[in-house]
Amino acid sequence: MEDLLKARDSVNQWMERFGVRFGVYKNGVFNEQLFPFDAIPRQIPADEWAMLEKGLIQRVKALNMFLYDIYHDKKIVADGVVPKEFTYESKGYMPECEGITPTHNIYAHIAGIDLVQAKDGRWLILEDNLRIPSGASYPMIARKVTRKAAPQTFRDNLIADNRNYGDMLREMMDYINDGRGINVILTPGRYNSAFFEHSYLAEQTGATLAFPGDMVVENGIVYYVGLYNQKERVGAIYRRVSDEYLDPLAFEPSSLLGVPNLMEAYRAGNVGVINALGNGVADDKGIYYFVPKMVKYYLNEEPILHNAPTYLPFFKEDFDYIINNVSKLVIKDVAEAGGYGVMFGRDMTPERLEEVKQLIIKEPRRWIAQEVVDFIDLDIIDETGKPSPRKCDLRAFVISGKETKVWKSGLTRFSRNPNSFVVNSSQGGGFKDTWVME
Amino acid sequence: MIYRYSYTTESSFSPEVTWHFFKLRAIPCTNEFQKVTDDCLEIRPSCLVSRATDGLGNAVQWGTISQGHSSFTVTSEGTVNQLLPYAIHESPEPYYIAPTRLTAWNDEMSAAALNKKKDGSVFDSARNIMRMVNKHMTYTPCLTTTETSAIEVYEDPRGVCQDYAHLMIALCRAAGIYARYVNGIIAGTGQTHAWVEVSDGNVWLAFDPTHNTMPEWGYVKIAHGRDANDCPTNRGRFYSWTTERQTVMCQLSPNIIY
Repeated sequence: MEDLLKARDSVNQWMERFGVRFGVYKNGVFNEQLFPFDAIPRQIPADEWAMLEKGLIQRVKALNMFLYDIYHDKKIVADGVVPKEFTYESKGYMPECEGITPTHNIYAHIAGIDLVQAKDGRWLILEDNLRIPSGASYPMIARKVTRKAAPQTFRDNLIADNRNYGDMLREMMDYINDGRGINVILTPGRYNSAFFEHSYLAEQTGATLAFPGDMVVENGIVYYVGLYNQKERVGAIYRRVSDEYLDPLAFEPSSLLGVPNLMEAYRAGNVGVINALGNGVADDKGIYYFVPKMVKYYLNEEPILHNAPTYLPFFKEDFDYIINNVSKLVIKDVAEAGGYGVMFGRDMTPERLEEVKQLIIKEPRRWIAQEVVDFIDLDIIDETGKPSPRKCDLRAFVISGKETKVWKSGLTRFSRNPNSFVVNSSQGGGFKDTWVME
Repeated sequence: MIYRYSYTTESSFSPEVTWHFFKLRAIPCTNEFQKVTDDCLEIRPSCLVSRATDGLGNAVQWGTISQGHSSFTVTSEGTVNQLLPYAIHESPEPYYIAPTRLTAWNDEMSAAALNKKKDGSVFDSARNIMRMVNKHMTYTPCLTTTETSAIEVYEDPRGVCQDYAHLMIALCRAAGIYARYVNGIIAGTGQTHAWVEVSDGNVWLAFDPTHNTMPEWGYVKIAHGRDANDCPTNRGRFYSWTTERQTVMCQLSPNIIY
């Protein structure tokens, strides 16, 4: 691996040339910054990966069944496994999606499941991302560049090839398309934080990259309008625009990013939308607590992968525990994402702790509390050129098409500072390649 | 009772627009107390109009006009037969008790709402809340917008029927009562009207906070939703730099059978 570490600078220069960037909004100003790459890969042994793969497939299957159930039969709520407060009263639930059956009943086509490895070696799920999880392009391109920069490393190590992500996406898109038309990736445009990824994935899947205004709905059919106003029927849309902006006539009327009346074409079954609308009901921090219960309920199996120990103030027993132990817990706002709204009890002054308690007492449904998981550090090469430990998580990508498959790689992100526990691209920090060993 | 209804909206554009997409909820709904016996929907310039049901159970009519046009007219006319007193026997969906952006409430509102809540029937409590809203508010046209929330209206109690309805819905939900937004047509106003339906778990009954009454006859319902954003009568989108002027005209009259 020596040659790879030596090639660190040239790898980062290559990535800069490729435009591997991540946009961040800070104080209302859009800044595109490089997403720093660290050359020391995370290595996952084959047997450990086999267990992860099984567990992830199980979890995503249960989540897909949950989403179907929520928008159709509602059995899990009727049977009292998940309370209505966490489903039908959740911000992510969209009544507009009632009765819509997406092509082949799939909702979470691309799931980004975030995990951490505890110091005792156990893998724990941190969160599920079932709306528009981003980040796959970074390890894709890092692998491409590192293979060039340090070919010997990839001859000496038995590493699962990860250059098939584009093929996996394409296979899934074709399955959802069902031969109805072309595949399209819909991007909100170049001021989106992940625009680099949208264009790269379009290139890798052979799909057309569409901007807002490039698609129209006529007579219930979605068309891509080309350069010379010729219209091509669209069969599947991998949209990177969030639900509420996707159709200005169905949702946020001021949205300029959507396709007017897309919802009607979707409802009529004339187009596949990847991921389905309304998935937010299955991936917020509140519903997370119930995912292991979904695995038991829908699959009648024991969950292979576990959640980080989580408490819901909504339940009396958990509420008492939280109030008595705030100082050692992490408190998270259910409605927030991207590392925002996360509060560590041990960092708070007594006054602040009391404030947080009052917040929980006032709105128990809004918060979850978790034990601080002592997860493993991985070394990075810091600015001084020396190894330095950082907290790392792993985003695994699970693709659900004809079959549910896990991409043999993933995005390993590390925190910016050695003492920070928050690992999120929106909060600074960088990434590593993830090697699944064979 | 048989009514003739008509709903007309006309938009003019300068300069003209192309690629005009629209979605309408312009035909009254059919349910246990009212039945649309004939309906006629005309769009100018003419285009193919598709009909569907949205996720909340409302009929929608939608389409696309791709040729350039400087005016857009919708005329919806027909006959409604109202059979029973206004009551819909349906169990309420859980989302009619949760706040939305337009129907969220603050602590003061929830205290006021709980104060009006009675031990007896849900509908008695709703009637109290309706009275309170009607007293609290002063009818003031052209002040609020479609984006004005119940909290804003509570603090500055002036607005139109939509604001009355949002405030009443927010207060009902704050008191743990199922409530939903309704739009429709009533006689004599020339505009579409908004009111509220409240459920005790078995049946939806209507409350009109703008007029402080529980309507029986003469309220022709078009659509319902969690708030006004769920069920606009007419929403359109076009890609042009243009100015739009819109007029709406509604009529409801008892049918005279010759």
